[in-house]
Amino acid sequence: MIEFTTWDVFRNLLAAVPWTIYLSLIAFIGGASVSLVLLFLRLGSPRVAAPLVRMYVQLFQGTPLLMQLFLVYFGLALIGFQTTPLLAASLCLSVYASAYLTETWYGCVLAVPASGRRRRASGSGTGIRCD
Amino acid sequence: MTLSAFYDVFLSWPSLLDGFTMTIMLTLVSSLLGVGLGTLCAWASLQGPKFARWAIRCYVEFFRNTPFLGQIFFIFFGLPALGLKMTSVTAAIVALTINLTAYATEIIRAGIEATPRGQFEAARALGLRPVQAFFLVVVPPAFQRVWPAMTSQLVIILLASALCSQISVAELSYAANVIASRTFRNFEAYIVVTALYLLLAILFRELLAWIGRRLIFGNFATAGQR
Repeated sequence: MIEFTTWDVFRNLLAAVPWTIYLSLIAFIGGASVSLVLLFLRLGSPRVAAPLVRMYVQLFQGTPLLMQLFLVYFGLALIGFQTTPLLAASLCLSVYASAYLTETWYGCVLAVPASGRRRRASGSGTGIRCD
Repeated sequence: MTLSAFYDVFLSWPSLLDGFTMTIMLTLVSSLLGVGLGTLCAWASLQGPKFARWAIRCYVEFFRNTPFLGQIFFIFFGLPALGLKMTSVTAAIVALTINLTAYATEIIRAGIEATPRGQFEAARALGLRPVQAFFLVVVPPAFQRVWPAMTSQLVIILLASALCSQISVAELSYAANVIASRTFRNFEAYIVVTALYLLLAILFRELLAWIGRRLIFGNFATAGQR
């Protein structure tokens, strides 16, 4: 009979800590990159891309992360794509984080007054549009 | 993936329906308790004795900085070791309420701090007791300010209730797990349940917007605000 000491429990938990850190980093870097693209799409074409981005945000903010994880893992397998749990988790966390980040950053951009800062930036030839 | 696969999923509609009502029940009960307790905690953290402020600060920081899954496991599997046993549904409601209260405290505290102190002092000068002044004069405009943030947090609680399936509460994602393991239609079961969650989230957001219009903004809307 093997006895588990408190140290054994603690050591096993400690061994799992790097994965938590890796997944957080993947989610932040992946989510930030995707949401930057979405942010530019949303700002650049208010007619076409903006409603699509809004639907994307609505979809990923309106469903539980647990269900998204299951869907990505089983869904990718269903279309014949061999996934590992880590790949599915990374993909899913990036998409989930991007939905929240793009909404936050869109609000940040809108909070910068168009009449002042952005117009001056566009006037000094930075290529930033303001409309 | 054919339509017949979805037929297999829809054959188990009674468990989907049970899960649907359980998710709604969990969300509504913990939302009401969480917002109520959050208001009380916000009050205590601003006007209570020093000890209460410190205790609430610790509580809020602890529950906002640990994962919800860990909290729910600790309440359901950990507390019985200390002699506190409860059913899975009770544990789920307790966990959701404790989690939401921590977030709601911070949200409402922000709203209260944005309310000018003069309003509270004016109410006191008109002869209202501190409790009356707080709940009748300070809280309504505070809620008005933070209602959008509160709406997002309540929708997050609706979605977080999916994690309660991990302690075998028979809610919507538990139904999905059961159907998936019974029919081996994993993807179909989860996509149906995900669609139901999306529907619930949109409806819940609409309900909260309606409550905001009727109760929060309507009665107390003061000139210049909104």
